[in-house]
Amino acid sequence: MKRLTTSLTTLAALTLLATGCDADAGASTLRIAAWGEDFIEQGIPADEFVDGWDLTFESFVVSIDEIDADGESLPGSFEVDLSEPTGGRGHQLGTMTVPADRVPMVSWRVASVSARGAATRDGVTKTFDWGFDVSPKYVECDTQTLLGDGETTDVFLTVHGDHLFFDDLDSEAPQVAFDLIAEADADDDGDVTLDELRGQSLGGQVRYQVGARDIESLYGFIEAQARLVGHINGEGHCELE
Amino acid sequence: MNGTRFWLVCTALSCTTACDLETSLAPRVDLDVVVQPTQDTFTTNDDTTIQLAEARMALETIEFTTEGEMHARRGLLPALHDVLIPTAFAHPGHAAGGEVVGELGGRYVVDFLDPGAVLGAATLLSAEYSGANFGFSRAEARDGLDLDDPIIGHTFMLAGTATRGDVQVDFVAYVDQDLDRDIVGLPLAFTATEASTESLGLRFDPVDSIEGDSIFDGVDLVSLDDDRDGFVELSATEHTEAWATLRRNLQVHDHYAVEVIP
Repeated sequence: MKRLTTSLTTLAALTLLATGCDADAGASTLRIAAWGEDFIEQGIPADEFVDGWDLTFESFVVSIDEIDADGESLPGSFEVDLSEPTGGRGHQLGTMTVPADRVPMVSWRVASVSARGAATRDGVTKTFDWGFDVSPKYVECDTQTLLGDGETTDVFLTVHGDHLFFDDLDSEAPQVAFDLIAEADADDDGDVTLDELRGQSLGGQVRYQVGARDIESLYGFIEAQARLVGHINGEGHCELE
Repeated sequence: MNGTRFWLVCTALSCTTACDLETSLAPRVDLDVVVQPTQDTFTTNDDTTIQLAEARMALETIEFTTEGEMHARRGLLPALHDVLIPTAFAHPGHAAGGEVVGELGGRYVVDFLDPGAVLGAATLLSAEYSGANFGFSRAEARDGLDLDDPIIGHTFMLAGTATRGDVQVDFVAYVDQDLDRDIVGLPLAFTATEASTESLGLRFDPVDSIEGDSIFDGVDLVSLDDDRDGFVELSATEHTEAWATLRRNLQVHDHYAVEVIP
């Protein structure tokens, strides 16, 4: 249904283009914010995890740049700790003026992802402090909002923290899981390091499928997921450049 | 898979290029898709020699893709094309695989040890093709199988012998791929025109011809015969870890190829 809605919205925009591009359509303001939703700001509750862990982020820092909407750019690089609560307003990054009477397509880049937090179950706590030098560029992010002349519209560059804990790289319906990450704590000191993730082989795992990707360790798996955290306006989709 | 989408594109191309029914069909050609010979004897990374006696796979819809411009993609058509073909998303489960402009639709249980078998005729729009995709399926009786065919319910049935030194075991493996798994991006360099007469070959490579990896690497069939009865079964419930490794190996697109047969 979402895809149909997207197509109809796009079709409406195309119709506008086809019936005449009015050069005097006016201007609209986009107010750009970065947002980690409740999962990053408040934590991921146990009922979201297939294996019952409860997880909170102490920090979730992303570096965002190359923000663009229909060719208009928002200059600068923004380092934001998405774990800081915003009450749903997100972290304001700036405003842009774009032509009205169109559905803006947004692009943006996440230059790095760092997540620090703890997962707890049955009195056992596992902490983590990870950084990934991924730099995914999200393009064609469909805001699905037709801009009105003189209006101000909020655009949320949304990061999904739960994706780091998905248990499949291809499934349409992956589970959120932590058991394998907890098992990776080889020295059992309660902290799961990146080196321990590298030492956790995926060979023989029924879950954590990777398709044809050359990924053999849990580190490679989570790093690949870190490239897929970006969305638009909550659940809206982008293309990965 | 994108079968419906493919035909929407065909219809759109037909309607937008002309309104005369006789001339409105976009140029296209039907070409047979043929099973190619499979290497049935090979060696794994633990020096076990595998002799395949059975290698069948259930798949659904082979797509043929182009990264370049479609012949009729001009004017308003690109926008219409983009509406009809949603692009890849930055989200698990959405993989880039080029623009689908040809396909062999339907369900098939491919017997890779029956080379020359024709799966059907693929319809290809005239275009420069650069790749192919297909989706894994699970075999069903409606796929033309006997009701007691053991592959029913599974994606793969592989059987044969595994020999290392003077030890030999018979094996059978029933591998189930999730239904949202696709093999994406098989290389294909082919220009299809209305005058094309070639066939398209579908090949299963148990050994990756470039890297040398075999589908049974990491699956020590000989050691798995812990009761020494000379027989090993791999399934979701038998030797699950080895089964999962085999399942992973079979998801690697290096073990499949689509080629042009003059």
